[in-house]
Amino acid sequence: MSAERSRTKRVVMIGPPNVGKSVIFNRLTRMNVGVANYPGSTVEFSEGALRLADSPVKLIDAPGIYTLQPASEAESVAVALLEDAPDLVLCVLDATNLESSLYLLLQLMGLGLPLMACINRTDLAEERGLAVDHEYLARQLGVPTVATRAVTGQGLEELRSRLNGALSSEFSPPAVRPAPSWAEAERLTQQARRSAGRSEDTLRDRLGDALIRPWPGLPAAVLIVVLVFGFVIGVGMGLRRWVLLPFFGELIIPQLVNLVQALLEPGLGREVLVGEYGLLTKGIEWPFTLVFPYVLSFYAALSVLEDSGYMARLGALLDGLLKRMGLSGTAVMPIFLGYGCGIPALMATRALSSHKQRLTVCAMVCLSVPCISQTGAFVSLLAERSVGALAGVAMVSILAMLTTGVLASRLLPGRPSTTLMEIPELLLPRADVLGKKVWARARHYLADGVPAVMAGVAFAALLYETGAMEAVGRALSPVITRWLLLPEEAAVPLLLGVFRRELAVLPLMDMALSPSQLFTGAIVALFYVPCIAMVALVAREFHIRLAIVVLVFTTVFALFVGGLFARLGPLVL
Amino acid sequence: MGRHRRRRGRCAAADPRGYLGQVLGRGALAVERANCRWPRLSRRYGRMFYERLVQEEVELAGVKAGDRVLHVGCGAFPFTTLALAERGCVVVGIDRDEQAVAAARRVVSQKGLDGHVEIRHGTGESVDCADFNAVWVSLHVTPRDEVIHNCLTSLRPKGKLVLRNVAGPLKLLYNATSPAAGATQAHVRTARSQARSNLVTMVAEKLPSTDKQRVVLSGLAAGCRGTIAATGNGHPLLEPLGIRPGRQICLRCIQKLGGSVVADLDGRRVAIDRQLAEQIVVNPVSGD
Repeated sequence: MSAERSRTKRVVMIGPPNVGKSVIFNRLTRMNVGVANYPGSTVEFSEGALRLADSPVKLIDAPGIYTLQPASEAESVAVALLEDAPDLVLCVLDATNLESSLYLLLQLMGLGLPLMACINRTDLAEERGLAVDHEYLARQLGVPTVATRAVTGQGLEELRSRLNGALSSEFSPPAVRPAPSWAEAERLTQQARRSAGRSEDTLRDRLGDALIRPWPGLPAAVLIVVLVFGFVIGVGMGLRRWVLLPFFGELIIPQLVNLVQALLEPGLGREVLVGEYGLLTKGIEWPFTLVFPYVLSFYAALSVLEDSGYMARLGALLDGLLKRMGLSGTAVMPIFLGYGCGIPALMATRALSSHKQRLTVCAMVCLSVPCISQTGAFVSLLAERSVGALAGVAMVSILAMLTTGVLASRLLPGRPSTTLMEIPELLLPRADVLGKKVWARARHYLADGVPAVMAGVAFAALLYETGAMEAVGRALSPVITRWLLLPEEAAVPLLLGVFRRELAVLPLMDMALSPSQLFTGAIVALFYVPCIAMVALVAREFHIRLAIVVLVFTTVFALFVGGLFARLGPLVL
Repeated sequence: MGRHRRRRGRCAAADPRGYLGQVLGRGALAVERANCRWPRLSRRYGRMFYERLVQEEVELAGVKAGDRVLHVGCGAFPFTTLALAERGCVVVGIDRDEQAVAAARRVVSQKGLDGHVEIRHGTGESVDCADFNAVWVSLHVTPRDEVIHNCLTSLRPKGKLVLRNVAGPLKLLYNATSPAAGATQAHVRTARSQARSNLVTMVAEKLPSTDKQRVVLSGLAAGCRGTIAATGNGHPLLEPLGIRPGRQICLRCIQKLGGSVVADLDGRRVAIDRQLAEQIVVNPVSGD
């Protein structure tokens, strides 16, 4: 008994998608896991330490499930957590859609695990003139129940103390119940519902509905996408020119160069640090002044789209188009995430309902969706030299994405998927949540992306300074100079591009290329190997064979298409 | 089979697939004539193309031995009719081609199935299905929509209509029938055939005729409400999202390009695939 006591107890949070489990989790554990206003934003479980009065507890945030019959791989994760005999299940109910939450609760009651419930989103229910008598439910079902508003933190202290109480008291398994039925869930809902004032058709509701109707939703969608694009590029350029470039380019880097030149004798070490591919010159300039501004502006825009609930609306609007690619409206989320980074995009495919859909989105993201780091690099490379080339790359990318989707849906086995998705309420994003999200993603870039870029630059510096680069350039010259019509040095981006997508672009900047050569280089980079981290994730999430196919296909395809564009480019640009 | 299309010359003009259909129809006719002449060929051909298919259809439709079954478009060598009779059904095969009817009658008496099978001359647009538990409609039968309409209208409640539908490349040759056809009069289920991968079987079970005004969800006008009567077989998320018989649903809008149907269930907005929405049958609620 004592051994069992000393073990850290585990509490699993289960509830329907988009009910606010991750928000409650973040509030209780002071962690910062990703939250967003659409179903399926959590695809993995997260663990966090929860300090209770009596003992520390491990709180586990599970992906949302509608019922205990999983409909996607993300949902299977939640069901698997329940099979792992947690010490307590915290069922998070949705006050606005009580009856389907109650059905899930009834199903959970049949599992014979210690159970507690909290009813979240009571604020949104009140707006609709509804209240839920949680005490009535607690009496009827014999499950301790608390009402909460996770976004403001209301009710969470009570939840904490009730969790403590439930964990320290002896658990007696509930009486055997009949199998849950929708009729019972409906009956309980009717009885637990109380009227709370008048239901108001708010401006939010009307705007939310207008944005899903083809008119004015479709023109609004075009406008929003254009605005987002303009915001990402405009704000990114502004950040670069007025904040990051002055700070790093004029303040930090010259100081470092002076310092190194004062300390080190000329030689290999000094050249690696501040030479052509200097770790302290290019290794800082590239990630911080060329890519980071766009990372910030993109994630600011994406976070607003996610938290407002607009993404799902875009998915519903584009459903007909996605259908032609064998996808459902839900696939909009991973594709959009892919424009930020391919890794979360591949993870988010877990929320899709079929393996075929996952593979299709994976193909699209790996081949033709540039991540924001690469997009930032494209902008830095092309915007000042040739806007036409930048627009050309964008068009080629979109065309390639659509073609990949259509081909994948035709070639991959399996049925086309059917859309059935809940559209979340349109909400005004909260500034503090947005700030935290942008910070979390920026920190991720700083912690994972920047070191990888710097390592790549250091690798290039070593190759360059030892003369190995020249040998590689010569060896690859039939491909690079004869087929791609690029100078021999263009072997550098091809070598480095395997590590990070932006490294397939940035070395081209200082090569004095013609507009047509810039375009060729950009096209090769676009289709070239997605970064090595993504290839590894493809191997983990799908199969090692698929990862090898991705690696080989993207390389061959990028070089092949690059050569074609090298011959077409001079005719246009 | 085949005669329906072959004899209706106007199909060729109205439908680019008509010509191909005619050629195909002639091919099928030639094959059937060959089958009439060489019984050993017919056994092999029947086993190859029909036995497992009919078995699947019988299982899907829940047809039992002793049921009365009508087969529309039985053809000169009525494979489906015979296969149904072998499973203990009392079968009536009809065809609009007199020659085919005569040939089919000879085949039936050769097989010694006179007591179980009757071949009549008639058309799918005019036949009365009230006496039958189930009606089979062959792939070649045209005009399809009118035949389906006639069969569903004249069937008794709980009577079943079994349709062979095409999938895959065969769609270039035949018009596929949408699962939505007849959804207001019947509960429609579809299943891809295991035996013949380019065929889909649709079973429409006639609903009680009390609710005359039923429409499918995508047939409601935007802003109109209805009570869900049936949801078709389908998606595991239908029930949790509140799409269950008896619930009120309000159609918000229909997306372009064959996209989803957005509906409202008790304040919850849901985007529903067009194909799913065409299987959701609602009784419109007036006064909105």
